[in-house]
Amino acid sequence: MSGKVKTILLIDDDTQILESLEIILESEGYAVETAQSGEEAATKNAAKPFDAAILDMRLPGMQGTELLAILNTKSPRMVKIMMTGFPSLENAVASLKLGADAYIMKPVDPEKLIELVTNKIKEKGQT
Amino acid sequence: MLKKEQFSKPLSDLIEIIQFTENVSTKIHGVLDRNEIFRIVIDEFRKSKKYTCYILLLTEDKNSLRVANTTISPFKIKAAERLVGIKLRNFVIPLDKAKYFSQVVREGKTIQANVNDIIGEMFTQSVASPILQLFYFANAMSIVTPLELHGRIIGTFTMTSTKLVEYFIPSVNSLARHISSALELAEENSSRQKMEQLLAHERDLLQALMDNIPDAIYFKDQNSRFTRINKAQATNLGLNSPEEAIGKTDFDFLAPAHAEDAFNDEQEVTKKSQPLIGRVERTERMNGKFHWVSTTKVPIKGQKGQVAGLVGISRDITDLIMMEDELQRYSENLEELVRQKTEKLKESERLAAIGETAAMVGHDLANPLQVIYNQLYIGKRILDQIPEECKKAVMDKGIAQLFESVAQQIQYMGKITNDLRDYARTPKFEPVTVEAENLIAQALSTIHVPENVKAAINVNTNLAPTKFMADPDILKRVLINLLTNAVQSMPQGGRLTVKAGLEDDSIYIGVEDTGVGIPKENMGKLFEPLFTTKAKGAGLGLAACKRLIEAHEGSISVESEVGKGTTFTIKVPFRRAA
Repeated sequence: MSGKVKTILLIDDDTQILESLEIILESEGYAVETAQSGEEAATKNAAKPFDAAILDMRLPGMQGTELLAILNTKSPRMVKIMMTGFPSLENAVASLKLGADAYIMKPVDPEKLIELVTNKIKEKGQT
Repeated sequence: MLKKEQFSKPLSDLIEIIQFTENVSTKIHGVLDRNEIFRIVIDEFRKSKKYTCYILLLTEDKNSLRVANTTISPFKIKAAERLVGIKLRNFVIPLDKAKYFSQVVREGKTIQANVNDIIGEMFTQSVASPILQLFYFANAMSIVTPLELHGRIIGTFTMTSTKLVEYFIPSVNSLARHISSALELAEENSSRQKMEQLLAHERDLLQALMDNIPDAIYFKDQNSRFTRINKAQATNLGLNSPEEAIGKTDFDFLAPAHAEDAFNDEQEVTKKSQPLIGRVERTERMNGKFHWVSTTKVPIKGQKGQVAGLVGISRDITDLIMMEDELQRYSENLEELVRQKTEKLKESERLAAIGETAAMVGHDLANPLQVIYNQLYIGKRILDQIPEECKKAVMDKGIAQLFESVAQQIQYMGKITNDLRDYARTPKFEPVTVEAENLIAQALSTIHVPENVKAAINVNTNLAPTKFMADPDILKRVLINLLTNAVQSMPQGGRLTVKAGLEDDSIYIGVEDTGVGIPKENMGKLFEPLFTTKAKGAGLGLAACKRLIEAHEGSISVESEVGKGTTFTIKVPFRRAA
């Protein structure tokens, strides 16, 4: 792992999730930015590159899968992790086809999330 | 006109005729057959060889007399018939042509006349002469006197002889009266016989009816004692013959309560002279079997109109009642079916509502749970950062266990939301190529197996190397559910075995534990939604498994013994990998 601080974009319409995850990931040494909608996330991603994005499947204004497609086009090398409270096989398959690196279900153990994010960033960095 | 010298005939002639007619009267006394009476009379006269006699009877139209019997021998009659060319046997004399006979029959007189005159008015000269020559002595006299029956003249008695004189008339009359009274007796006897025959016939008919009708018939006196019963009733009472019942009552044959009821009914019938019609009763036969009977009892009245007893008829309607019962059961069964269908409909509506609720709760709980999870993590981190000297005090208060407990509860809740979501989902069956051992191992790896539980996977060689088509998502979800249940059922530890193999074109996967087992009363409800025995859990796990496996065109079953363990087995059709 290089000395450069890894950046993560968190997208969820639930502010409490955003706030708590931000604290957790920052305490692990990541630089975290948050977005509460698909548009906001697309704007932030266009402004600067992130190492990883953790996005909720259900977002106001735009579906998580739509945002995923946009992010994947703009930043194919960024780690993209889908999080959902209502998992389905169709969504999982669609997500993976649209370039998601992982598809996880809420509630997820924060420790496992950290482990997942760290591993995925490492994997992408090696390729 | 009588001639003078006839008065000088000896008295002995008169005595003789008196004795003779009295003798004939005696002979016919007590003879009860009309023709036999005639035969005896004629026979006696024939034997005397002194008189020619005729018995003539009125024809039905009462316009003629017909010869009923005569002392003239059949040979003589035949000879005369040949001679005159007229049929003389049973000869019919029209009264219009016979003045003498007409006087006797229509006026009731006894006449004395010359036989020549009598015959002469009935036949032409050419016929009359040979008849007179053949049958009679010349110048014979006839006495013709009526024969009566209950005061009505029914014919004549004719006596002819050359020696006949007027003073014979009282004797002939007396004989005719004796014949008449003998005829009356015979008539009465024959009508009595006819009556008796009629009665006997009626009796036979009644007996035939009594003996052959399957209904029980019985006659009783005022005190409800049997006076006569038929065979069917005898059989009902457990008797060999109907006679055995005579003089006895229902109390001798039936249960006291039933006999009492019958007795009261019968008293009502006889005392009030009111018939009891079509009473339906349940009775116990001597053989212990219960029968349904329809009973009718009507009073029998004596000659003065007083009630002398009753006659009852009981028809066994057990089959009919059974049929009615059957019909009733059918209709109840139908109602039950309708009720069950309605229940099922309600149940499916309920399940749909549960599904919607589950989807909503499953999703809406996910975010708050995630927040709690995150905050707990942050709390732990904060605890880590507390200086060691302070940390000990906090740790001593059990903060770590507290955090661990919260984490466990979050996991429980996560499981519940998962179950809710699984249940709410309409499972889609999307088969891909899979392999049994790998699939089971993946499922097993996702659950936490405590150290005191020994887990093993045992795939039969008939399936082990084979790849097949199945939906791994569905199978894994089901297996995770079953494995989690199995582990939870063994809080003291045990063995967890997953067996798989091929059997009759089906793949079976059995999850076997050595846990607490499931009580029999709960087995039927296991796969119903919202059924649970756990303190924690919504009771949707197995219901979701059933839905998932059914979407996979398979089935799920369970075998369990309390204290020994449980085996859940899923079966899905074997689909060869392309």
